[in-house]
Amino acid sequence: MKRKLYLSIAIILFPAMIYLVIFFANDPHGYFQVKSNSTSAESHPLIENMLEWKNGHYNAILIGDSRMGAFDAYIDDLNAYTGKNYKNMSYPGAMATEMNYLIRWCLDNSQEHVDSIIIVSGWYNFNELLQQNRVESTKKIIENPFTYAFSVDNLRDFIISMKKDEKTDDTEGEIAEDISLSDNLTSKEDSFLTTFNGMWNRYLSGFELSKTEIDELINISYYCKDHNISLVFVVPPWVDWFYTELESRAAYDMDDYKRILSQYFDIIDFEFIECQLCHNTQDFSDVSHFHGQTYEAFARELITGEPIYSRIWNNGNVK
Amino acid sequence: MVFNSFLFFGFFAVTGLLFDVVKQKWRWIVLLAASLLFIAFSAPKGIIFLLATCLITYFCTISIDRIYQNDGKVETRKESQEFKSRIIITLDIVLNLGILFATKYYNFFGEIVANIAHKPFSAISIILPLGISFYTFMMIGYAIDIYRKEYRAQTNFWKLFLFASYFPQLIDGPISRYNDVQGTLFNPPDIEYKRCRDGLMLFAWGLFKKLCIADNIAIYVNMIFGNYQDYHGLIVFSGAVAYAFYIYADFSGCIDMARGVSRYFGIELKDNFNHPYFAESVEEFWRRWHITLSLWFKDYLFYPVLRSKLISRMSSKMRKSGHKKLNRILPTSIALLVVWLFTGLWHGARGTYVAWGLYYGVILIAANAISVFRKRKEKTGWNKAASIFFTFIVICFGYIIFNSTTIASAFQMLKNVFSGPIISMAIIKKLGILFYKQVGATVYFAITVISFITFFLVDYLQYKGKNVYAWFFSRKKITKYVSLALFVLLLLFMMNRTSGDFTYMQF
Repeated sequence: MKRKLYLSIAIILFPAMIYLVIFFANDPHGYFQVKSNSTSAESHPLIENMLEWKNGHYNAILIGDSRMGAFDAYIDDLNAYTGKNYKNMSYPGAMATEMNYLIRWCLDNSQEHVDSIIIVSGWYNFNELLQQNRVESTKKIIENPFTYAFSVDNLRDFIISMKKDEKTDDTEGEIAEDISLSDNLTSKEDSFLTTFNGMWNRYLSGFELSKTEIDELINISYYCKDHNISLVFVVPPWVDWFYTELESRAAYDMDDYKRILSQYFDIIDFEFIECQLCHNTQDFSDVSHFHGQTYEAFARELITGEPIYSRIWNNGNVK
Repeated sequence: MVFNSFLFFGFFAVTGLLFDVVKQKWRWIVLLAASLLFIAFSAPKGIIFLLATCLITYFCTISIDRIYQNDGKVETRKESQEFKSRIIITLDIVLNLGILFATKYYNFFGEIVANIAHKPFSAISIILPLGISFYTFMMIGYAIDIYRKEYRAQTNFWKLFLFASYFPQLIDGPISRYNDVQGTLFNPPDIEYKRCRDGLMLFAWGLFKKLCIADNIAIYVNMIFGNYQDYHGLIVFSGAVAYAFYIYADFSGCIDMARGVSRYFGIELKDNFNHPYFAESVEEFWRRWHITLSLWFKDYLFYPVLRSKLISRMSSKMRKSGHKKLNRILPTSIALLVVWLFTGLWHGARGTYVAWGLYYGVILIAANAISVFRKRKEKTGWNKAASIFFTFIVICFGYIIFNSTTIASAFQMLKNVFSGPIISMAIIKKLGILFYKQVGATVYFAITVISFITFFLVDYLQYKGKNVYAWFFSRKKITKYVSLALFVLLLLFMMNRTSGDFTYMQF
């Protein structure tokens, strides 16, 4: 009887055990540190960033969305200029809720005293309709090896890691396609419109500023003041086409959150149509993602903090 | 430590193996050690209150038992012995409720008294001990049973402590009766295939309810109750409907897990639910929902109030003066009002819980009064369906009061149900997007929908008297093993999304 029971349990748990063994051997993010080369940030940068933050010795946080992924190339310059050790915690689709939660988590789980935070965020990230919190579940994932192994996201990354070579080829193909698109302005505007329509239909038409996240960011700024942490808020540019298209559809005030937040900390703002960086359409792969000289100029200004293309918000007004 | 955690899985596996290897007479000690470890992992500070409750009950019940043992021997002192036992049981109830009051209600009542007296009040900060409302009621029930001479008092303190702290029922109940569990709890049977298999299945089914249904519906509930000012008509009411399914999946899921674990050890705990949303009236709903609490209040509060000297005197006066119908209404109404006031308070120190208790008190008093004047008929077909539907609507209105943080917000939410547009497509679209985003991704959205349909279907089939478990276990071996292995994998992959806590843990 007893044997039958234990045998039945073993049979039912067998697939889960097999999965665990294979997952352990092909750990996509190096959690168990079995494999030295993990799949890397392309699959799930949030998990890897959080693991690296927890195990590393960083004293400064840089946080943003997918637009900041390319900033990895400049992180050494930022460290050299500031004399700090920044960790780029940015990941695709990071929204205000998640950024705020991630900052709190980083401050609670740091091995060093954190004295600088740079947040790269903007109007779109404060959209109430977009708020979700994947950081909270990722926190659970990285705190428990079983939760880590039995996570749908990690299962996906695990499958990607098994097909790693194929994936690399695909990614290269996507980039090549993107570059060819950028050569033709008409195609580019078509692609802007396609992206914009997608955004408009799902989230933009019902845009609502998340007051909760504005308040949470203000609370974080109070925390920073109390703990001598410098807080810099940077707003990246959109392509100029975006402002015109948005204005033709709705009368949103993209500056209202800046008026509120700049009463608590300064804002380096590139998010206005007069900004020189928004005009080089060729550098924009879609309405918000940019590269080339535009990115170079943006990154330089973020590192030095000296306004060339940006405007500075302070005490509710542009300085 | 909660049931829906990997830590608990490990804990359960180790306890199960130890339980299996030790001799039968030592098994209760394994369960006691496991319960102590469970408390140490969950809320170690709360053990002081649990110990205090057990010590008070132990000494009081032993004293009452000794008085009764001397009862037959010294006839002349019988009245004095009854008086003594009454003093002791009163002391036991006062002290145990005193601990509950100090930890759970002091700030609530202190603030009310201070407001009335226009004096400042300084709240005390006490973390609510785990399961205090459940084990306090279990221990008071046990002491009253001893006082009523229903059985003899337990002379081994640690066995009594095990009854109060038995880990499967500690966090969310059910509120067990000593006599129902003592036989197997202190002398658990051997591991037996069919029983253990059924126990593990029940545990997995409870886990499914919590992970795949309750935790996902909770997202929608929070969206509505957190922003009730923005919604009107059916949309705000949909929050209450969602809450009805959330709380059922959450609470019954936890109870299934508790009963499943306990069944594995051969200790059968009472079920708390009997397909409550298929009830045809509010009275029937309360015979199907949180059954062990309802029965506790019925046995230890409702009947004692109804048979109290005051009510009996009032009743006999009415009988003599010829008010027969009033006599059937008034005493029951008073007892119902007392019971429902305490039922509300049992859930927590909050005005909305008291208001929710009174809401049901008033409904049940009205139902009782109507039943005096009109004979109830058996309902069939559409009449039955309509009764189930209207009962569910009444329950949902109750949940608006129950789940609101303040009475003012509950009233505003109720007002919003009847004001503004009945339905708005723009808001439905917005809520749909928000829910889809917050639930995680398409795969989780699909799991939520499929799980909910499965849950509803199984509940309906069980209500109709179909034995779903027996049907499943009559399938081919390969079908059973493959589907169970896939079910286990689904649960494991849903684990990282859980909120962890169960709503009834806070009570």
